[in-house]
Amino acid sequence: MLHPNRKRHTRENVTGYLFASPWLIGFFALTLGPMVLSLLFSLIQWDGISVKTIRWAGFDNYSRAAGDPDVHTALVNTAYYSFVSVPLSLAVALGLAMLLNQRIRGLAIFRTIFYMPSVIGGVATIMMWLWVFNPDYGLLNGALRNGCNLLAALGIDSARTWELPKWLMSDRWAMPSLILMNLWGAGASMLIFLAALQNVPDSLYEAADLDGAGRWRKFLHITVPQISPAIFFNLVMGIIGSFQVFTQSFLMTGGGPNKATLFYVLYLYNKAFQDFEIGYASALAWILFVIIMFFTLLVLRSSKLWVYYEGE
Amino acid sequence: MGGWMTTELGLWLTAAALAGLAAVASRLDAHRLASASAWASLAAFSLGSCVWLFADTYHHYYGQKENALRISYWGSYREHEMWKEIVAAFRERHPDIPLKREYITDRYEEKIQQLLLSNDAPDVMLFQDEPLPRFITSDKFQPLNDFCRTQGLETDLDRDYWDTAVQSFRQDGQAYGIPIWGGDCLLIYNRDAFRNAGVPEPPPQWTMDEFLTTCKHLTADTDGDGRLDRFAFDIPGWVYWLPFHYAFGAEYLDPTRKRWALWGPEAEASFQLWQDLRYRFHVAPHRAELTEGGNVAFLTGRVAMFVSGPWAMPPLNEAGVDFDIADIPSGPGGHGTRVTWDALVMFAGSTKKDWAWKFIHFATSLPAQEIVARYQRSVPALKAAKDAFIHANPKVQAKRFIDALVYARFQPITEHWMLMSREIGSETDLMLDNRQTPAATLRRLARNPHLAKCFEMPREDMTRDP
Repeated sequence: MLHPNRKRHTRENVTGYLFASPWLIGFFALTLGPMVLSLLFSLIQWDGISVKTIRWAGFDNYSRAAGDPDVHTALVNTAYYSFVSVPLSLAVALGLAMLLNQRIRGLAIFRTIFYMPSVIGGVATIMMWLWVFNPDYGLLNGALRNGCNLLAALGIDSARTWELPKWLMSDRWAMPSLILMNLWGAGASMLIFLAALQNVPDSLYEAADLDGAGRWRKFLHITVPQISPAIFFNLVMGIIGSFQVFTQSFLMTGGGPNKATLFYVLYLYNKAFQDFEIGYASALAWILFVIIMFFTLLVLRSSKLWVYYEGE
Repeated sequence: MGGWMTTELGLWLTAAALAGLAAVASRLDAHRLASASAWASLAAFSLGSCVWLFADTYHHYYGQKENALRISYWGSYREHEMWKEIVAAFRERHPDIPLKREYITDRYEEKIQQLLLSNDAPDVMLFQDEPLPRFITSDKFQPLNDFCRTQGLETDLDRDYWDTAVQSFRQDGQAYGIPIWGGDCLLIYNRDAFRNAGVPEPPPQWTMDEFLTTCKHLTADTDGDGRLDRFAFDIPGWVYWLPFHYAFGAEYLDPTRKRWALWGPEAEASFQLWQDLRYRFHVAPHRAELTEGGNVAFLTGRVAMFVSGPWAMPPLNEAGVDFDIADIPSGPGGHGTRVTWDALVMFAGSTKKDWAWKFIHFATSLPAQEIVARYQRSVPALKAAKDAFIHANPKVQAKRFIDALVYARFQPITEHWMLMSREIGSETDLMLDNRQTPAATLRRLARNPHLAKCFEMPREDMTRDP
């Protein structure tokens, strides 16, 4: 016979699981199930149309990925995007949050303005940026052209002939363009930083003031450690999101010019839905999963060294 | 579906009511009642969700099957209107056949792929020649030779349809689609741009030299600000360059479709002109000089000519542009153009194949083909409808599209079309940005590892860097 305490524990556990069951069912049926299935797919060759075309491939898809020059290109592009855009967008979001953490008039309006871009849908934003980046009529080159004219008027004649960036139409500028565009959505991270900044006790700054600490020292030794959980969260989410970057290159550049914006997920998509190589695409997806897992674990392990939790 | 909807709604409402009861009971400290209500609420919610999740699947496999013939197609709104007319005409003749149109506006092949995989594809599907070989290997498309012999609904493909159209959908002697429409690519020119430049309109059967001279006369800096305002030609992507490529006597695959033929002096001459039009002669705008898109530039007369098929005509007619059609200039390989076709294919898993054939037979017969001709969307695949096509728009020489079908080349399409297209596009993009020579472009393509897996490539010693 079960001890009454144990019985109560079991009942509580069952109750807990039952209440969590809608999520659990969704997770197993719609996330874990397809993941396991894609792991199996990665071991076969299949056109994704008819089960008659399934052929066993073993680890061929994985070894093929190792020798595929386009996989290397896509990985380098994705890594370039991740390692530049994630720190940059964190810095911009933190900078904005600090500016919006001041006691100034019209603060709510400023906060709304800076958060607004994060609310606007991805495709609408992309259509707008396509116009901004237009080398001929775009806002960006229009401003640069005016700047050049101003310099020419000030006596720097060569400014008139300076060649302006062709942004998405040049393989040198296409990636910086997408990174620049990514900053548009910094509002979401900004909001998290803002919440964290408001939780930093004023007493710490007052004590630092008494000790004669300057702004930079206060930022480095009070603000950063105090908001480190928020930095950690934004960093992990940024890494995961940036390795899965797809929509921008899919809609704006198609991976070009000259494969300069061929991101890993775009290549995976091309293989699955243009070349109908579901097996190979699944293997690519698992390779990406391992890469993301590696970087996430790296950040998680390193967090012990730099993330400060008040309760610990 | 109404019954299912009611069930779901009922279960969710029950869940909500029980959850409310649980909340009230917990406030009254009635533990047992609160707990029971919470459990019942959870159960009702889960059941409601399951019904909602799986109702469609259950309905599909075990419920009463939908009894209409399903037809899928893509296209612009005007094409959608054309389909409505074709379907209305079919309904008049066959009022006993219920019919459902499925207008897929974007990513057509991907959606059809999913529908085929789930064995839930439409009974009749509009399909392009280019992706077809990849789909045929799946055995999901019904071979149609036997249907062509159906008593009272016979179809003589070889006698009544354009040869290239029939060949595009035939594999190993078996027809997998009945061609409905298509077209060859010619030059479309803006007559106002020619008039403004004082340049005579292209003569019939002109040569590559005459084309180049015309291009030079058309290109001009009209306001004298040092920037060109009118360009002769919009540089096309590789598929639309093929008419010029063929005029140089060049190819990209040999007739067996297994050996790489984008190689040799003819191909190099073709690629050289392609690049020269932009960089040596500058009669075509650089990429950054045409950021408003070729279509807009043509409408405004900023670009005078571009390569396209008959499908370019309806939007130009609607925009009121004064345009006409010219031949692709003949080159060392004579006259050339590329032709592409669409067909109606039948889902092999269809349970209404007789109805499906009746529809395919109707849509590819004269009454429906005359509707196609009237819309000018494409050249009707049925030869008998050619006059209707020519006379539908007397303002332009649409007859040139028909005349060119005599020498138009059937595209050697394979199941690797998309991959090949991407790789050629990527390399030629570099060439069209003046970042590599035509010779280097051809060499890099001949050594492309992806293409080498699909085709027999030129020998390695032939493709070494000079």
